[in-house]
Amino acid sequence: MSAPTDEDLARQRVRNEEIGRAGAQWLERKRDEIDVLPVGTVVIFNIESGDYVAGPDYLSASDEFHNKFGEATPGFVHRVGRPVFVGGGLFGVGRA
Amino acid sequence: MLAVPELRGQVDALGRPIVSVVSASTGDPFLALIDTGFNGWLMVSADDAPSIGVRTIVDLQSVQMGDGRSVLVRRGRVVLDWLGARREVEVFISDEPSRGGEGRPVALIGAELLAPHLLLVDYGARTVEIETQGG
Repeated sequence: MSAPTDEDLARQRVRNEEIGRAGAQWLERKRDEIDVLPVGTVVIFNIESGDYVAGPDYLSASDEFHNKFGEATPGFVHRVGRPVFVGGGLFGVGRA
Repeated sequence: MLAVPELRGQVDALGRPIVSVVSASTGDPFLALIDTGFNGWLMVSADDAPSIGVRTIVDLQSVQMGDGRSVLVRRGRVVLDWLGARREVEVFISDEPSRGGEGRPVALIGAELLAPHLLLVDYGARTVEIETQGG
């Protein structure tokens, strides 16, 4: 395994934005059926079709999602009622 | 009396609670900073993820920063030797570069990985302990 190059990261950032926009749109369109799921449920959207899987945690939901749609299919992850909060110090944790 | 599985670390010169965690995926230890304001499991930068054996997945999630901004991060998973047990944990992967390694932390440990354990940070003695609490 080798670390990604700056170019890899830049390409990934652009792709991430595309996935994020599409995922957020699907989440808004399906908000009524997602918001009634138990708090903490992890939902993963197929950004192409809007289909989604739901599970009690990311590991199980991810297994189901990628078995169903393929390992290379990107998903947009949403945790019902419990957004992930990362404070202010997550990036560049090694910087002194 | 059976020993209670625990993890010990220290408060570093910058005042950060740091522990050494072993990745079962690589067999090697890495330094992690305990961040109780992070309500996920483990966070690493993309350039550090391979070195600790994180398997990156193509999924993305929006997370909230302290200033209210939302940021997209990738998802992944890694197997850790954690408090006497082998445990697969969720990973959040930032695309921001890190200068971790060589005595510096390369990951953040969040509240989901700490639960349901006991975290003791003694800033006077500069010690950190994580003890199992039945989980």
